[in-house]
This record gives sequence, structure tokens and C-alpha cells, in this order.
Amino acid sequence: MANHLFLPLISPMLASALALLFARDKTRMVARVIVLASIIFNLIYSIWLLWVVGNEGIQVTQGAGWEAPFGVTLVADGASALMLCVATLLMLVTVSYSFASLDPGYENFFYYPLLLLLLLGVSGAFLTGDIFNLYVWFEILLLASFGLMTLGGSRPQLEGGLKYVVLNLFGSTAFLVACGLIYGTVGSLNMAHVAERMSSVTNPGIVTVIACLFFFAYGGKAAILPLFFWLPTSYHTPPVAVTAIFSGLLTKVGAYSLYRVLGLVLQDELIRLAPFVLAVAGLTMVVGVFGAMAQMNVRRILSFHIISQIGYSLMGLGLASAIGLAAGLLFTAHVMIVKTALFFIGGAAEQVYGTGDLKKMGGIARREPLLSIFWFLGILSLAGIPPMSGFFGKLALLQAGINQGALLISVVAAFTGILTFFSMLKIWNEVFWKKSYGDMSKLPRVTPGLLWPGAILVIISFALGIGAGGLVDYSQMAGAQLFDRAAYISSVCGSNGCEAVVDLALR
Amino acid sequence: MLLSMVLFAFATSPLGLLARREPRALVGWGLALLPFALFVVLCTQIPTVVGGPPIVETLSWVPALGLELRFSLDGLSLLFGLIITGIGTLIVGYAGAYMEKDIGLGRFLVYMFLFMGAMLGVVLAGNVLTMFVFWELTSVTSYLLIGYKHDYPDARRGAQHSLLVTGFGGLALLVGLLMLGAAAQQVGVPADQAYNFDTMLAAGSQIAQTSLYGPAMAFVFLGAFTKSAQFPFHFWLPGAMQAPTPASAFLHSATMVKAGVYLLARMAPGFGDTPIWNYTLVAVGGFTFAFGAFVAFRQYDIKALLAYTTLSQLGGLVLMIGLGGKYGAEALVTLILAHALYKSALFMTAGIIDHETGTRDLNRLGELRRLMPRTMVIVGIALLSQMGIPIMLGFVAKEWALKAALESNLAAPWPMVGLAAIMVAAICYIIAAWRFFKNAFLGTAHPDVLQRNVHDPKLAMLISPAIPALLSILLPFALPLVSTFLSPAASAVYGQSFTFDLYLYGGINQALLLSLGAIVIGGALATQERRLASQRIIASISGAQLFDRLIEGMLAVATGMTRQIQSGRLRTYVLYTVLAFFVFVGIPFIFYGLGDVRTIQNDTFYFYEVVVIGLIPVGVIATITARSRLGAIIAVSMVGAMMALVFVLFSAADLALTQLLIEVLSTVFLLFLFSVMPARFRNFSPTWVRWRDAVIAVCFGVLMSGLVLASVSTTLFQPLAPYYLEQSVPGGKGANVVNVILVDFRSLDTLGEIVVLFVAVLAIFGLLRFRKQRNDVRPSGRTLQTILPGEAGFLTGNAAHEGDSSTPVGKAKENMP
Repeated sequence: MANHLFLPLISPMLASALALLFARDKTRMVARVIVLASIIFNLIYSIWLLWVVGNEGIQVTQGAGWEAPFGVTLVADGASALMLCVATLLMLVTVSYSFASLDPGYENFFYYPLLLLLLLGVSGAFLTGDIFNLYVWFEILLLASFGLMTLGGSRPQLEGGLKYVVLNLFGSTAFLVACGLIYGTVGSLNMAHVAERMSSVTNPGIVTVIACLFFFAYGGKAAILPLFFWLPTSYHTPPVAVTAIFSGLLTKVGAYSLYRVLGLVLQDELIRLAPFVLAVAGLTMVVGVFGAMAQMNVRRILSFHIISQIGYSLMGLGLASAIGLAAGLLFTAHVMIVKTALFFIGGAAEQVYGTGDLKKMGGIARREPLLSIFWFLGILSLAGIPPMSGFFGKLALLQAGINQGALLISVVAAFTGILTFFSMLKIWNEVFWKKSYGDMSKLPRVTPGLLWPGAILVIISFALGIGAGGLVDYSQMAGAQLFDRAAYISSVCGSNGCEAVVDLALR
Repeated sequence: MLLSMVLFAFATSPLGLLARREPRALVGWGLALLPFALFVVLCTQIPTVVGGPPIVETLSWVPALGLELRFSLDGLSLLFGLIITGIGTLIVGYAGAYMEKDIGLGRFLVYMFLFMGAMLGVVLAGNVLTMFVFWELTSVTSYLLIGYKHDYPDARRGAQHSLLVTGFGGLALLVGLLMLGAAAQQVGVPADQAYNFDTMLAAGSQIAQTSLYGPAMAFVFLGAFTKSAQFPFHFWLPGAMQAPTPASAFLHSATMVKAGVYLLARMAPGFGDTPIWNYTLVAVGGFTFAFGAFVAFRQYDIKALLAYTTLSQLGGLVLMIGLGGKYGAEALVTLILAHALYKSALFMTAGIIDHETGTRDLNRLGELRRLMPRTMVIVGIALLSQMGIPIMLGFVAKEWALKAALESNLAAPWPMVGLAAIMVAAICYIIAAWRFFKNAFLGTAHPDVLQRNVHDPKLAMLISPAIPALLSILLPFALPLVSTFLSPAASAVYGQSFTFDLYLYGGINQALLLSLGAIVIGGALATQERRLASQRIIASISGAQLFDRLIEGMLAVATGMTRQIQSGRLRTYVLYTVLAFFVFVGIPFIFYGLGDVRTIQNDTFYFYEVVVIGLIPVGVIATITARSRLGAIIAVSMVGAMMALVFVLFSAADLALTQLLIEVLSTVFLLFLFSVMPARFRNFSPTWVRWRDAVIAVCFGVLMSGLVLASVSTTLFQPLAPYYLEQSVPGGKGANVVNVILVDFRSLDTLGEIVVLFVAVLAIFGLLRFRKQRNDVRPSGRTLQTILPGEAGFLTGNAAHEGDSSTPVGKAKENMP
């Protein structure tokens, strides 16, 4: 029993309630300290968890003490630990960027509690071992993200927020229906138990359809083609910090759930559906990047890239192998970091200029050399240029694809890279290299508070590239764990499996 | 040592920033000591490499992906390494003097040092993935150098072209290399060594038998051709001349553009000598050789002229690799050395002319022989070498190239193709060289030149081109030495160790005659250079413009597509989403799920069940057809009430209660909201849209019913529900099993749902209050309407919550005996 798995859930839950009490002008610092303390605690915990999972294997605990297939189980394996760690790191950086960039009104109206609740939802989704419980965490993060997106209440925010919430609720409904159907068919919601029971179902049937339904539901959350409409329509409306953390977390939870539920629980169905998944992956990559090429606004370009990169995560899933999942996890972890960094840096430039319109910006390379250096390194990482972390994500994916003989998707993935680069260079050319048309001398300078959150993430991306050996090993361990149903089942239900537990209990 | 050399180059790159300070010329030569140190270290390795096997060093980096920092030094690497560090030394010193007045010199030198480290990495790498890492870095640093004067649109355009083309090639190369690695693993090379050059090349003949070989080579060729500016990817190289001259001289003539050639030469022993290899390389290389030379002598800009001869020369190198054989290898390494020497000298002198006269336009120069005599001598020597005039190094190299074509073992037309390309290029080089020399140094001066005080530059600048130019004329007197130095390089290309001897005069033979013939014809045509240059034959082919069109076309497609997809209307999005649902779920259901749909066995319905269930569609239809909002609300409540009744009929009292509560609450909300809206609905959609939507809605309903029927009727496994019933009292201390499930068995879910409510309250309260405080709310009459999204979120959140937790519970109940 690894009861410590509850800690990363309790901490933001408590802290958000406490911070709520101090959400007013006079006690602002108290609230900030509480928020920071909670997130730092979670970060330390998640790093420790990485280490524990790496050394001791999968960590399991049972909610309310009911043995495995009957209660709600929390499980941390390599994939969960990795995602949890990256997500918490991003949250920490986001909070510090928010300190520097947001006006006080946000703080008084529960901005930080909502951020913590978002973290709660995300952490819960990463740690749960129960399909319906996953749904609950999804609801929390959906509502928290909706709150963050519309906080401020400007008209574009509300319009974007409406589309966001309606389309996401459609996905949630599909998720809920899928939960019901899988319960109706398999008779359990515990992931390990479902996986165990599913391994005895060999013929395609209604379960294949349910797997497709899960693919649709999580795919909508992950913004795959053609379910991504909610993303570019809403992501450029809220404050930069919000967009940045959304880009790092929201779609990635969807991708993670795809990995967890299709990659582990419904593995046979995934193998059956693999060509379809790969086709969607390829189309998502291409359409996303084409969308980015067509935009003339910093955050819109970055938003469309999120879609394109989800295609890569999906490619890892579609390879339907331990190595493929490992590569996909590596890529996803990398892109979470870099994408958030780029939103911060682009957002800092936007904040200085008061606009994100490429045509109106310019001259930042001369004016803000540090910001420019980090932006450039960031786009190198996004485009997968060594030695930044992006290269290794791409390399792992392409290698897995080519070694498995999935040549077409690998070639598409490779050449999408150059289009990504192209659309990012557009920002570089227009915002950084081009001469500014107007007089820039009266504009404010980028403060260190706006600069360093993005910079530190870029530095992390660089460090992950230099130290890629360890990261790749860890991701391969995580991928192997994710693909190994037997080991997962025995960690959750004991070495005889969940069915034995059920038999014993109902004898 | 190799690793530390590369690391040294990277680690010392920030020192370039020292050149921000005056006196820049002096600082420049001081910094030139850094590459010079590397040059000296490499020189000390010459004896080891000439005599023995390659030096190999490895450092583990990402073993799981087969990527280790593996460096190896053999003859070929050494040749390139010496060119990089040697010319690098001269260039850095030259740059200090050339850009003496440029505050950005520091930044420029940082890029140059980074590039040098990357380029060293490429030629020293002993693992294809290691090489690729550095390969990409050369593309990126080249981009930064070309775009150095980024205030100018042309510089940005040139930089972008170069990066897109070489980046595209880089990705192709990566795919190709990974395919080769996969093929190596297929033929039994262990995974951790599959990406090492030596093991890969050793397994080359087996890899060539696999089906991956063809596509892999296609991608590798793409990578090499883009990097080395082969037709039709050549256009980025003239565009790259936007870089400051030191960078052009270093990257775009001496080093980076040869990376593609290097890669092909490196792979030749393992993967060469197949039809794909030979014919592709001879065709592409030969064409580029002739084409570049042909275009070169029509240029007015000195740098453009040099750029075209460079890409021609790169074509020549590719041709040599394609021709293969010992002579091919010998000619290749000799050409590389000769070209590096004379071309860097020419570029640097072009920079000097530009620096002193302020122009590189051959029409605006003239009579510099009087004003810049020393420069003239250097240019003259370098041009003689380029033309291949006897006793210059270029002459030796040309003769060997001719021999390679004459002695080639390829099938019939191909050696002749190579020979023809060499002859065309040799003739055109002479015209181009003469054009450069005559228009710049002879004739009468252009008025612009006379207005400026034009003179030879100071020694700090002049010495850099002087050294390679002098070497071009001095090395032929030490040919035995040069041969011993080049032999290991040629061996590495050929694949077997052998030595050869270069000579200036080996008796009258075909090659010599052809070489002299080319000189005579070239000399004759050179007198007509102005008339030749004015002929517009193929000048209209501008790759750069075509590429721009391609990009514009892609952008247009992207914009059109995005406008189609991202229309901005929620109803369209919902429509697409539902259609996607049909594709993602409906089609699999038809293929896999239909078999599982079974009719429900228990077909004895009670009368009241039929009534209750029959009223649901009535309510739905009434809602849709209602003309007034109030009517719609009433009709929709009927649906809810009937749902509650269904729960009652199946004895789920608490569910029925919950359902009723929600119904009441949502009716209240709806009434509240609709009080600020018009009382009656208005119809905005055309009839066909309504019919389309109706069809989609019915399909959706049928699909969902099918799904439920199929999954409910296939219960394959033992239900868990008995456990909950059994444990409810002893374990959960509660007689109401639903309650126990909610607060004990699945209490974590309930906790989560409570948090959901909490989040909803926070979000909506914050949204509404913050809006009010911010004062950017629209005039009061509209506020209630714009609140709608928030309220909707609250409603759906609330309803979803209750609906959710009931689902597993409901199922659990159904399964109860």
C-alpha cells in the first residue's frame, strides 16, 4: 500500500480552500505563499515518486481501503510519475509567471485556487487506476479550466469559453457513455480488472466499438483531427499564463488517457485499431501545422501547433508497442515543457507590444537579446533540432516507427517537422528579426519576472537533451510498464490477478 | 582527444564576444588562435593516421536509441578537419579586419565558432546519429550567419531558404539513416552498434540486398544533395551570399556545403557501387557540375559568380563519387583540397574588393590592377588554379577527374556523361575566371571606383587569402608529400587501403590532351565573354522564385483549408463533431458491434411501462416543435419526469428522487433565463438544414441505442454487485447500498464530484463578480444575455455531476438479483 499517492491530491485541494480564505487585497501574500508551498510540495513529491517508481516499480493504493476491483484504486507507474512531475513543474512556473504578469483582480477572484484545482484534476487523472474515477478528474479539470478561461469576462473569452465548454462536454458525454458501456459489457471499472477480463476476449466485437468510443472521447480532449475545434477558437483569449498552462496540460491529459486506456486496458483493441490511429495521427500532424502556417498571431500559431504535436503523441500510441508508447511519452513530456515555454516567451513579447499580431511587431532581437536567444532555442527544440530535448522525442518516434516498418507515418512525421520549423520561423522573422516599424523606445522592457519562467523551461529542455540518456531510459521503462498488462494487473490485484480476488470474495 | 576538440570548439565559442571591443582586427587574430590550436593538434595526428587504423573514441550518450558520441579520425576526416580548422583560422583573423567597424562582430564570431564545432563534429563523427546531431547544428548556425544582417528582407529570405532546404534535407537524411539502421538490424547487426559507421559500412553489401536500401538511399541522397546544393536544390546557395563575406567564404564554399559530399564519400565503401548509387550520383552531380559552371560566367555579382562555380564544383565532387573506382577516390580528395584552397582565397579577395570599392558588381569596377596590385596577384593565382592551368593544384585535380571518367567501370553512356560534364565545366570555368579578372582588374575604371580612395587593404586582411592562394601554386612542387597525405583519405573513400602518386606530367595521354583542349577552347571563348553572357538561354530558371511560389502555394492551401475547418461557428463545430462520431464510432459499430446486438429476452411489457416510455418521444417531439419557449420548457420537463418514473418502475427510488430534483432545478433555471429572452422561437435555418439535422439526430439516436443494446446484452463476466450487497452492512455500516457505494466504496468519486461543484461555484462567482468590477460590461440590458455561457457551465456541471455518479450505481443496481 503506497498511501502517499493521496498526498498530491490532498495538497492542492487543501491549499485551494485555504488560499480562497485569503483571496483579498490585504492578505494576498499569504495566499501566494500557500499556493506556492502546495505546488512546491507536489513538485518535490513527484520527483520523489519518479525515483521510487524507477527503483521499486509500480505504486498502488486503494481508496477507502477496499480491495482492488471493488473500490477506487490509485496507481503510479512510470508514465504517471513522469507526467505528474512535468505537470507540476509547469504549474510552478506558471504560478510564478502569473505573479509577474496578472493584475490583482484575478487574484481576488480565485485565480490561484482555480489553478490549484486544475492541478488537482490533472494529478488525479494521472494517478487513478479506475476508468470512472478518471472521468471525475476530467470533470474537475474541465470546469477549472473553463473558469480560468473565462475569468476576466471579456467578450472573446466568453465566446471562446462557450465553444470550449460545449465541445468538451460532448467529449465528456462520450466518455461517460463509454464508461457505462464498458461496465455493462465487462462488469468492472477498475483498469487492471478490465484489462484482465479483456485479455480473454479475442474476437472483435462490441468492445472494439467501445474502444473506438474511448478513442473519440479522449481524442476530443486531446484535440485530434477532426475534434480540435475548441482549441484554436479559445486558446488565444485568456491571459498568457492561462494559455501557457492549458497548452502544457489539457490536451496532454487526453493523450495520457489514450495511452492508459487504449495502450494498457484495451490493448488488443488498440492493436486492431492501430492503422486507423496512425492515419488520424498523420492527418492531425499535417492539418495542425497547416493551420499554424495560415495564422498571423503568435498565440494562434502556437495553438495550432499543439494540435500538430498531438499527432506525434498519437503516432506513439498507434505504433502499438512498448517502444512506440515510450517514444510517445518522451515526446509528450518534452512538448509539454517546450510548448509552455514558448507561450511564456511569446506572451512576454506580446505583453510588451500590447498585441500578438505579427504584422505589427518587430525588432525584438535587438531590443531583448536574452528573450530572443531563449525563443530561438525554444523553436529549435520544438522543431526537433539537437541537442534540445525535441530532437530525442522525434528521434525516438521515428526510430520506433521505422524499425517497426511504419514507414509512411514516419516520413509524414519527419516532414511535418520542417513545416513546424517554417511556421515558427515566421514568428522569428516577423517579431524578432524584422525591423520595427514604429518607435519602440516608449514601450516597456520585458521584466525578469516575465522572462525567466520561459527561460528556465528552455534551459530544462536543453538539459534534458544533454542528459537524454537517463530520460530515454526512463521513458522506455515507462513504456514497457504501460504495455505490460500482466505486471500492471499483478501490482494492482496481487499476483493471482483480479479475477481471483473476485472469486475469493464472492465464494 | 577528438571529443575534447569538438567540446573545446563549442566551449570557447562565447569568447567570440570579446570581439565586441576595439581593436577588432587585433582581437580577431587573437581569437584565430583558437581554431589554430585545433589545427595544430590535428596536424600532430597526421603520422598516426597515415600509418595506421582510424582513431576511435566513444562516450555513451543515449544508448537506448543507439546514439553514442562516437568520434573517429581517419584520412578523410583528417583532410576535412584540417581544411575546417586551417581555413577557419584564416577566416577568423580576416573577419576581425573585414568587420572592423561592425559592432556585431562578437555575435558573428560566436556563430562562427559554434559552426566550426558543429562542422568538426560532422566530419569526426563515427556514428550516423552523432553526425546528424552536428549536421543539423551546421544548418542552424548557417541560418544565423546568413541572416546576420537581419534588418534586410533579402538576408531574412536567403536565411530562410537555406534553412528550409537544408532542414528539409536534414529530416530526409534522418529518415534515411534510421532506415539504414533498421536494415542493419535486420541483417543481424546488434542494435547498439547499428548506427555506427564502421559496422554499418561493414554490413553494407548485405544492407544493399534489403528492401529498405532503395528508399533509404533516396532519403540519404535528398539530405546530401540539399546540403551540397545539387540541382534542383541548388538555389539556396546563391541566396546564402547574403551572409557577410567571411561566412560565405567559410561555410558556403570551403566547409559546410561539402558536408553532403563528405557523407556520400563516407558511405561510398559500404553502399556504393550499386546502380541506384552510381547512376543517381553521376546524373545529378554531372548535371550540377555543368549547369553551375554554365550559369556562373553570366553573373555580374562577384560573389554570385563564385557561388555558382562553387555549386558546380560540388557537383563535380558528387560526380567523382558516382564514377567510383580508385581514380574517382583520388580525384575526389585532390579536388576537395584544391577547391578549398582557391575558393576560399577567391571569396576573401571578393570581400576585399567589396570592402575597398563598396561594390561587387563587375560592371562598376575595372582597372584595379593599378589600385590593388597585391590583391590582383592573389586573385590571379587562385583563378589560375580554378581554371586548371598547368602546374597549379587545380590542374592536377582536373586531370585526375578526367582520368576518373576515362577509367570508370560504369556501363556505357555514364562515363561519357561524366566526361562531357567535366569538359563543359572546365571550359566554362575559364570563361568565368576571365570575366572576373578582366572586368575587375583590367580595362578602365568605373567612375565610382575613381571617386573612392581605393587601395590594397592592410596586411591583417590580405594575409588570409594570400596563404591558400600561395599553397595552390606551391603544393604542386611537393606532390609526393601531398600524395602521402591524401592517400589515406582516398583509401577511406575507396574502402581499401592503397597509396597513389600525384604528378604534374605523366607523359602524353588522353586526359592531358582533353585538359589542354579544354583550356584552348575556354581561352578562345573567353574572349567573347560579354557576348556569351548576354545570351539569355536558361537564365530564366530561378529556383529561388519557384521555391517562393511553392511556399506561397502551400500557404494559400493552408489558409483556405483552415478557413474551411475553423469557421468560428459553434453549430458547425458541433455538426463536424457529430459527423466525426459517426466515423469514429458508427462505422466500427457496423463492422464489429452489430453482431452483438440481441433482442431483449424478457418481452412481457406491462401496460404502464409502455405508457411511460411512449411518452418520452412525445415529449421530445413536443419540445422540438414547440413555438413558444414556455411550451418547450414544459415539454422537456415531461421527458425528465418520465425518466424519473422509469427509475421508479425499476425500483431505484433515490435515483428517481435525484432526477426529479434536477428536473425542478433546471426548469427553474430555464424559466429564469428565458424571462429575458423573446417569448417565441424564431426560425433562422432553411428547411433543408432542419431536415439534415433531423436525419443526423435520428442516426445518432439509433447508434446510441444500438450501442446500449449491444453492450447490455453481452455480459460476459461475473458481476461485482453481490460483493457490494454483501459488504454493505458489515464493511460499510449502512443498509442503503447505494449510499454506501457513494460514500464508502467509491468515496473518492464522490469527493471528486463535490470538488466539481466547488469549482463550478468558484468559476462562476469569479466570472460574474470580476466582470462587474472590471467595468467592461456591456450596457445593462445585455448583461444577462452575455452571462449565458457561465450559467450554462453551471447548469451542465451540476447536471453532469448527478448523472455521473448515478451511472455505475444504476448499473450495479440492475445487476442485483
